[in-house]
Amino acid sequence: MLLNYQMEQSMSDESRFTSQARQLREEERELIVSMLSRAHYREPVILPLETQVIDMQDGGMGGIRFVRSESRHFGKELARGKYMDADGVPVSITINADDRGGLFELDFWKVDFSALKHYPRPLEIEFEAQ
Amino acid sequence: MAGGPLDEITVPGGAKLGFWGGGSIGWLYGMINCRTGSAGGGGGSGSGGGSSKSKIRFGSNANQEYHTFRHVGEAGIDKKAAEDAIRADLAPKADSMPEGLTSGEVRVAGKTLRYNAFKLPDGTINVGRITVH
Repeated sequence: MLLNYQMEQSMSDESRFTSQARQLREEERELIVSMLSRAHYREPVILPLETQVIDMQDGGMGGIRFVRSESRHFGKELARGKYMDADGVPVSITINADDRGGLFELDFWKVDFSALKHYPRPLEIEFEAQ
Repeated sequence: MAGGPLDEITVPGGAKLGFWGGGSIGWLYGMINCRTGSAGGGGGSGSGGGSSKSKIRFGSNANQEYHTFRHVGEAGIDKKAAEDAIRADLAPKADSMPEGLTSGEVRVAGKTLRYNAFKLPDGTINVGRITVH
């Protein structure tokens, strides 16, 4: 299966989440690249900062969805990790692909549903093998 | 992880990256893999469900509940049926579950839903991630 990471920019995904598309932040890019690289990819993952994302309305937990033109839904989990937020609450992170193999989401779940206190650096993530 | 690359990705630069795919979801604090044949009654929204004393939550507000169930809705599965099935799956084991992370599976509308839950010290069980397979 080929996973195409090319980002098409449209509002179709954006409209579902009532937030504006924006460029990927450096800290998000670093986290994604690190997690995918640790998930047994053989070569470094290149993800440009021009990549467009929208913030998911998850109560400030930090989840983003990658903007694409076509309708799509969850396909598979690519990588999983976790870390402890500054308040001691565990946070689970997954990188999801859509049903066509494209990069879909960076999903954060802070287990008490509270907002993130501290955005993790890659070295803080405890990678979980799948 | 044993085995060869099962998948490949193509990044904007054109490079292909091998990926050793895997289907299972692992959690450090324990894993519960249960299957139910269909969605069943498990208590109403915001309640514990079944005879369990534990409270089962899918978010702290409506936005977060929508977020938790987003993959369910996008797959065309009824949110209430999914919620009922997960509550029914959790209720019998909620009181005996250890604190921490747990995962489970239910079958709804012919699809497998995998969920992740976290039991807090006060017994509350937060279900925060549901994926459709």
